[in-house]
Amino acid sequence: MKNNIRLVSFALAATVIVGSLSSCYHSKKNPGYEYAPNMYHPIAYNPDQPNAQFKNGQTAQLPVAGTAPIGFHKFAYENSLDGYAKAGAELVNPFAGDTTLALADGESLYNNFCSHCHGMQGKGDGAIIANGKFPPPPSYSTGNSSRGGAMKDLTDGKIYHTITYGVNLMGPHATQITPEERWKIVLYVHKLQNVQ
Amino acid sequence: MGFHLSITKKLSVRTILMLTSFVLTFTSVKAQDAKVGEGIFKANCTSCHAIDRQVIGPALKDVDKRWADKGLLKKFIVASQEVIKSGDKYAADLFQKYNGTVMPNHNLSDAELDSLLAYIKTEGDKPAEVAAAPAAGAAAGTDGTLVNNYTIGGLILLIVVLLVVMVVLNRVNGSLDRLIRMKNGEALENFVKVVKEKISNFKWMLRNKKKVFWFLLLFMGAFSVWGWDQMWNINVNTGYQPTQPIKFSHEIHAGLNQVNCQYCHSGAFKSKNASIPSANVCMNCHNYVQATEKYNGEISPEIKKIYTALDYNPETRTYGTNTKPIEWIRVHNLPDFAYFNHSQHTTVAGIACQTCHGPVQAMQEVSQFAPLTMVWCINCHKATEVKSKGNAYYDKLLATHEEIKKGKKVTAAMLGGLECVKCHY
Repeated sequence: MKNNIRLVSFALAATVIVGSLSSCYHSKKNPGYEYAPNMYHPIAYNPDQPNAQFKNGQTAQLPVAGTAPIGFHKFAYENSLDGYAKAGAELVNPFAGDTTLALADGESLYNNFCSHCHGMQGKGDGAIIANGKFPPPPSYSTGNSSRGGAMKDLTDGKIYHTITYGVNLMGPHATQITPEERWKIVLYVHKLQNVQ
Repeated sequence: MGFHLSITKKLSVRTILMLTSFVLTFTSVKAQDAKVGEGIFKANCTSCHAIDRQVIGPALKDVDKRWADKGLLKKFIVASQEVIKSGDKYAADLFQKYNGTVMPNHNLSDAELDSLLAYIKTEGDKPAEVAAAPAAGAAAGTDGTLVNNYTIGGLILLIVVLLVVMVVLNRVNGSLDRLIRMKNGEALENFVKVVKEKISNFKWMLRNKKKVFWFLLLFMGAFSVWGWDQMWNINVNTGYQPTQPIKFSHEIHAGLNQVNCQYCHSGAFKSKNASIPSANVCMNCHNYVQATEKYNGEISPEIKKIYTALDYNPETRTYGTNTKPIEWIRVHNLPDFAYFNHSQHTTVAGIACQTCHGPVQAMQEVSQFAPLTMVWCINCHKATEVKSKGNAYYDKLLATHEEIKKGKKVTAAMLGGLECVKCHY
């Protein structure tokens, strides 16, 4: 009987100690214990890892000057007013006329990449603008372009040029959006230009 | 005389009435102008200009004072390049100062230009209070936090000081005690005796073996439970929340401002890796957003870290060559022996980012949400139904099944068995 009471009290003390120890122990700042780390950590370098093999200490390197990755197409128009006008006059959307798959892709891409500034309807009233964090871009349907003309008259090439290089406060989006995706977005922007 | 007076009175009343009405109409016209001007300003100017800060072009406050000739200013707004080419020195200097950025032409009428300038003037005259209000708010905010920090710091300091005083007083008390005892003739041997007594206390253990046994058993039990707990958590890093080099808040970016995950992690829908955005993506917004209103007009120190990494000068808006990477710490790590592809889960299966990463849009500091263990993967794979209908990814698979049902011969080559990487990877 006496022993039983002791046992119970010991068990209680044990739970309290274990509980407090294990709750204190896990620091959120450390990933925790690892077993067999040589199986967990890559031998090859990840792109975002530091790398002593290269002069600048990074694994991700720029392509050698004068080379291009497979499937890469150079955008042959310069980032200038002339390049913009030329792209606007010459380029045609390879998806032009597609009203199904490409347009649906374009819509989802637009919503993901553009809508937080330009708004879901392209009226320049996205969440960031509504929160007053950023000055509003002109509306696709009613606004005027800073490079002349109404926004709703912008051609394929002009929109593509703008996504690629940016304009005024809009930054270039070439690194985030592939050429194909850009053309799909252009397709959807044309739809938003006619929103009432 | 009375007649005379009344006439003068009448006259003066009339003049006053006339004057007031004139002033009233004048001010209301001005207000009207400014209101029209606000629309014009927001439609044409805000992508490059702000009233009281330099953006791509100069701050427009007091622009009418900077231009000696108001007509020329209007002409500059309409067609800046013509004014620059005409040889006006101020215009040419301005063009130079802003790295030769061409201000596009604006097709505005004279009346519209007047309203625009009226708006800029009223807004420009306002800022003293407008700027002061948030500044005061910010100051109050920092004051508030400062008071808080100081109170906490002060309390801790007080406790520490009190502890030190306690220890010191205790020691003083002890040495005084010893002095008195030494005076009374109790010398060093007394001290030795005390120590011996203390050592002999350990003999208690030998006398109470049972108690000692239970005590040791308790500790062994406790440590084995604790060890068991630790073993189960080896390579399981749920809750891992490293301190990142920049205090980037997903709550502000993805929650409040509703920037889609894909905007920054653009790889998540088209490649194996979700990818950490390069700093140029940050600059798409932070070339403008500097949170100066929260730091008394200074650029936020966290946003400055992006500028440092890119060697960007916000005054001249130019990039230098002394760049260094921002060393973000990866939160979600999969072991190297497990292959995981983001695009397969997001684009093909249509799984939301939050399913595995948790409510990131509500996390100020990101922590690991899912355990990322094999059992976690398997449980989800067991429960998730394949959405093959209307999903181009499964078209070929479904078509092949139809062929098999029809009794046609299906070879490995037809299922992609001749692809190089099936063997050579």
